[in-house]
Amino acid sequence: MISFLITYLPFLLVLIVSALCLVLVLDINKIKNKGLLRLSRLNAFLSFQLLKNKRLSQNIILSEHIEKVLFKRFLKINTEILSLQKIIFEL
Amino acid sequence: MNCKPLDMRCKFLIQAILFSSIISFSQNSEEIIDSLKIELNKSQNDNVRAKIYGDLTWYYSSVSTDSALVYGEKAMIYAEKLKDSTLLAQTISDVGVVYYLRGDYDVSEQLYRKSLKIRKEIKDFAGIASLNYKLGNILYKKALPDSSMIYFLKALDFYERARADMIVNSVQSNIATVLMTLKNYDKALEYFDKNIAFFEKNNQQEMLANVLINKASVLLYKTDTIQAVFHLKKSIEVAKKVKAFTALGSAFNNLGSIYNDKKDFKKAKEFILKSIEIRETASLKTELESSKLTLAGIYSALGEFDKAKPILLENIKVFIKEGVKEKLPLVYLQLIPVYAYQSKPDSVAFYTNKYIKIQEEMAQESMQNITSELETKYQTEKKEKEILEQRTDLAEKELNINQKNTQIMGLGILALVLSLLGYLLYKQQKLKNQQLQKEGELKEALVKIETQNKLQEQRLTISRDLHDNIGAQLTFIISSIDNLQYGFKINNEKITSKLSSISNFTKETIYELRDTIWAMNKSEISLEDLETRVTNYIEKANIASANTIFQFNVDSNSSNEIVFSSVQGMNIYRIIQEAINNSIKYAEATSIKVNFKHLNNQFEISILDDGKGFNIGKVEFGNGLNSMKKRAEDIGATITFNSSNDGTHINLKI
Repeated sequence: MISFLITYLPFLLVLIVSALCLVLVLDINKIKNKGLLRLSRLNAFLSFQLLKNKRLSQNIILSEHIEKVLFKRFLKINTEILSLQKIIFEL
Repeated sequence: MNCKPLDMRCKFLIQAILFSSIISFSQNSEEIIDSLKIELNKSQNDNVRAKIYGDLTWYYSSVSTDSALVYGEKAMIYAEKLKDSTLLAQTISDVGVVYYLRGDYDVSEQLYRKSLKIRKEIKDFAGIASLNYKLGNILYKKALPDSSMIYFLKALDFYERARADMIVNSVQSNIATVLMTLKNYDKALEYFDKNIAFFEKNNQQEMLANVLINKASVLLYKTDTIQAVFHLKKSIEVAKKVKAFTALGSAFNNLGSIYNDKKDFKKAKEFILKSIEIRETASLKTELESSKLTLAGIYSALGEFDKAKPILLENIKVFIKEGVKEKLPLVYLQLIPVYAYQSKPDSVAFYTNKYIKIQEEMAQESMQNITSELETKYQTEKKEKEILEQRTDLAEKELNINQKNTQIMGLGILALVLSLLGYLLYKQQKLKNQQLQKEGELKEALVKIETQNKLQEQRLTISRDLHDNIGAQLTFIISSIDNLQYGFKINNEKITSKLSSISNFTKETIYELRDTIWAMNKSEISLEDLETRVTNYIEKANIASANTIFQFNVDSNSSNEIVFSSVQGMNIYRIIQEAINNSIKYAEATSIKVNFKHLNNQFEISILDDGKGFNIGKVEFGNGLNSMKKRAEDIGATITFNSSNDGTHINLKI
């Protein structure tokens, strides 16, 4: 019986290790799928943030532009008001 | 019934069957040998020569055993040289037959066993059966009937499965003979009956006659004299038909012996004389003397001692010459009453002494034989035991080796599976790390972009507050100017004009600010939004310039899915605004068309007027045209200006 056990012990170990391998393969697949899911969520969130960033950037551009325009126009209004004052004082 | 004639027939039977094939070819063997020798001289090919040497060994065995041995040795050398196991096994077996014929049973047995080993290795089953048959004969000759029986049964098993009926019968005859020796008469009779049936069916009369005699002998052992006589008479009938003198002589002799035992001397004499006549004709010396001995016995029984004496004296000479020692005591025994009848006490004493001496010798010989047989049996059993022990050892070793091999195999597989496990663990860790790294990178990018977005949002919030304040201030300016204009009834044209100019300019600023706020409040500007905005603008322009006819066309193919970013929408709107403004202000156009078209993934906006146009080469690009060009470049669009005296065409492609 002992001799039989000694002879076939490696095969028993093979069975156990094979079972471990199987568990590991399943675990790897699980990690892969879980990871892919998590990464895809992060990617989606990042894409959303990038889109948001793009829109915000566009708005910033518009804002900067209008501010420049406003600055110029205010300058012109000021000049006009000053010239109006001059006309009034000249009267 | 004296058992000696029976023993003789037992011997005869074995020889008759084993050598039947040799006898059948011996008639032609000399011719075959000659033709083989011619072929041997012609051939240079080793394979052919080896085959011829083998054939010569076989054919010489019935002609000259010495020559057969010479050729056998050559055949073995060639077979070993060519590494032809089949030929080697056959040659060794043939040489074994030669030694058998020479009476050297030990060497013959060794050779048969060697050949058997080779044939087992090459799995030549027919050859194995033939050697089992031959070994059966050898062992019977060596007075080992038990072992002999084992080999005969092995051979019988093969030949029965191969349906080789002729050989099956030969083997069965030999088995019957062995059974007779082992005193298993019923079983022996069974086999002889099978033989008789076969030989009758196949019309093999001579063999039938021999088997009938043997069966009669067995019946005599069973004291069934009537049946024995019946079979002997039947044998005589059969033998007469085919002139089988040997069998005929034996049958008559045995019949005579039976009647002699029954004290029917007349009949006994009659059959013995017939036997003598036949054996004389066939020149069967020893057998003839046996018959004569029986006749002498009959004469002695009838009191005719004078007739018995010369026969007995002749018997002594022949038996001594032929080496038939076992018959001599019977002769000496029969001579004692003959000399007693002749009143010769010295001769009586002489033959009595001779009889006692030879009986003693024979008894001693018999004892030696028995001792030898026992010794052989002991040695055989010892060897068998040793072989068994060796086999057990071998089996144990084989088992150990198998176990070790199994262990090694198992360990090998285990190593492989462990490697696989290691690889999987490594892969698992690597995958985890890769995922963590990717996740980290993504999170980092996300944090950066979120921070940036927050900053931009804050900035935009401040901008919106600022725009709201500016909007309020601008409205206040317009309101103040309007109050001044209409509240104080200013008549000075210069002041009125200035105030109107400031008011209009401020209103334009407010419009521009509102347009920008509109664009900033939209995350994206659809074609529909742009259409509405442009329509509003055209309506206002139409109010400002009532003489101008405005047309705004949107291509029905234009997809509602077209969307622009806020910057794109804003710039497109500004370009259209600037173009319409220029047409009214500088070109004095009476008709202005604005077209939206969607062609091959390109969105095209064209503004046409019928104004006085301008010379693109000569006219310097003012702030308006430059502004349009810059806005187009900012949004990655292309803008073209075509102007003549008949009007201007501005085309924007995005």
